[in-house]
Amino acid sequence: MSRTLGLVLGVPGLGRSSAVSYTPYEDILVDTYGAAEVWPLIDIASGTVITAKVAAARNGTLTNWALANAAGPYAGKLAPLLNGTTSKGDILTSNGSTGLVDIFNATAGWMSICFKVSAAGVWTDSATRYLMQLNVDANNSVKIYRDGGNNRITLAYKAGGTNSTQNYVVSSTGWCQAVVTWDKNAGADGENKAYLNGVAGLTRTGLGTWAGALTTGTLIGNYANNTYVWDGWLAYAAVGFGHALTPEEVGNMYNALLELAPSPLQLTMAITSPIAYKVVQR
Amino acid sequence: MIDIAITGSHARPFLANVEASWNGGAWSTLTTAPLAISFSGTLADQVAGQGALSVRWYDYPAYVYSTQYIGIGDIFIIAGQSNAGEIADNNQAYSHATLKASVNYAGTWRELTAGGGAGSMAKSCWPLVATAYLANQSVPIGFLACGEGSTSITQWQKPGSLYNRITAAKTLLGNAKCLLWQQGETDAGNGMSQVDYQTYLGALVDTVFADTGLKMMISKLQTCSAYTAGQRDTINAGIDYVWDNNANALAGPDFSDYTLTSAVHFQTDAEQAVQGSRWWAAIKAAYSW
Repeated sequence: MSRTLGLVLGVPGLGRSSAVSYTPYEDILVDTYGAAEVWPLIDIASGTVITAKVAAARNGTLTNWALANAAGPYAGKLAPLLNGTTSKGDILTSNGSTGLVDIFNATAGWMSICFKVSAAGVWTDSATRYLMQLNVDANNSVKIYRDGGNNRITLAYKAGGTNSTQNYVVSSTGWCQAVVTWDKNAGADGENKAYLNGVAGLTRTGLGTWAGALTTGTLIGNYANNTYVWDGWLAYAAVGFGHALTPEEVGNMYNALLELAPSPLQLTMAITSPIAYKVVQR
Repeated sequence: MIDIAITGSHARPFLANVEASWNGGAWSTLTTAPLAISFSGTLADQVAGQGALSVRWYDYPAYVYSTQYIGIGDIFIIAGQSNAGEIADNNQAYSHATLKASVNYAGTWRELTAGGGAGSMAKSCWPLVATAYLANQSVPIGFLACGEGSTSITQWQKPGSLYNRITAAKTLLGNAKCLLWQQGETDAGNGMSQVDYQTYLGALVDTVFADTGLKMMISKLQTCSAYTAGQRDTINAGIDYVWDNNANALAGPDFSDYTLTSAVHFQTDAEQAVQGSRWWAAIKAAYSW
C-alpha cells in the first residue's frame, strides 16, 4: 500500500463542476492512508449488511439502523441514524485469513470514525455511548466513545489492562472525525495518540502488552447488546494495521474529508485581528 | 510602507497554508502552526489605502474569508478636557464616497458614526475633521479619544492615571500621527498663572514625546463665560510659549477670537463647524498637506 503525504490530488473542492467526478472518501482512506478496511456506512439502501470496502469477508451486520437517513459528512451521501437504544453494527469477522480478527494487528494501527449527534442534548445526557470498538475483553480493546461526562469524547487503547485514554471536549452538532492510533514499538514502550478533527491531543506512552484475539463486542455504535448505544449518525468507520498514522497523515485525512464537503459551512476560517474598520498609522 | 499583522483561525489543521491579501494586492503566505488551527503572519510593505483583508487556503482558493475596511492612514489620539470629546448637542457626520473614518473605543475599532454606540465620538467635531481629511488625503483616518472633562493640566502629569491613558493608547495603536490636545478651561477658571501653565504643559509635551514619540498639537482657549478674558489670555500665553519653545509641540487651532454661546462648550452645530474646521486647518498646516 502506498501512502502519499500532502493533500490528495484529484479531489476537486468548492466550485467544482457537477460534471467532475471525485474520489470517494472510502477510496481515499484505502489508497492514500492505507486503511485495511473501511465500512463507509453511507448510502445503504436496505437490508442488514454493512458493506466492507476492501474485502467482502469483512462485511458486517447492522441491527435497527435508520438507513440512509440524513446527509453524511459530504455531498450526496446519506448516513444511517443509530437510535441510542437498540442500534448495533457487528463487524466481528473471522475466516482464518481475511476476517477482521485475522488481520488485526495489536502492535501498530489506527481506527477512525465520523460521527454526528442526533441532537445537542446527546452531549449532556450523562449516557455512555460507543461509536466503535475493537474488543477482546475488559483488558484489551481499542475504543472511541462518549463517556458520561458532559461534552466529552474518549479515545482509548487498552492492552494487558493498561488503559491509555484521551478525552476531547466536543459540543459540535455537526460532523466530526475521531482517530486513535497505537504503536507498541514507538517511544517509551509504545505510543498512543488521539485526534479529533485532525488535531492531535497528547501522546501517551507506556502501552501495555495486548493479549488475545478480537471477539464479541467488536462493534460499531454499540458496546454490547444494546448497551451504551450511539445516538446519532455515523460514517466512514475505518481501521489500518501495521502502521500508526502520523499527525501529518491524520491532519490531511481530515482535510481530505473537508474538501469533499459541499458547503463552506464546514470550511470555517476567521480573521481574529485586525477586524473591520481598523486603521494602521501610515 | 506599513506591515499589516494578521492572526486568525481555520478548520484545516495540517499543512493547510493560508494566504492573505489586502486591498486587492498579491497573495502572501502566512504561518500556519503545525497541528493547530491558527495562523498568523504579516503583509509587509503595504502602501496607504483602504480595502478588504482576505485570507484563503493556498490549495483551495475558491473559499475566501474577508474583513472589510482595513486601512492604512493616519490615527490621531485626542486628549484634554470635555471639548476634546463628545460634547455637541447633535450628532455630526463624516462623509466620503468610499473611505471610512474609524474610532477606537475600549480597544475595539468601529466606524465613526452615531450608530457606533457608546464612545462613537459622533457628538464631536472629529467627524467634520474626518470629512476634510479624507477629501484631502484620500486615505482612511482613525481617532482614539482619551480625554476627561473638567481636568487640570496638573492632573495630566506623569505619573498619573490620565497620563497613562495616553501611553496606553499609543501602545494599543502601535503608532499614531500625533496627540491632539484641547484643554485649559479648568485652569483658566482656577486662575492658574502663565508660568505654571506653560511649565506643566511643557513637561507634559516632553514626557509624552519621550514615552511615545508623539508630538502634541495644542489648541488655544476660546472665549466664554466660564472664565474671564484675562484668564483666557493667561492660559493662551502659556500655550503660545510652549508652541514657540518646545520642538515637540505643534501649533493647534486658536479659538481665542471665537465666543461660545454656552458657558464653556462647543455645543451647537455652528460651534462644531468652527471647531472642526479650525482643527483641520491646523492639522493641514502642521503637516504641509
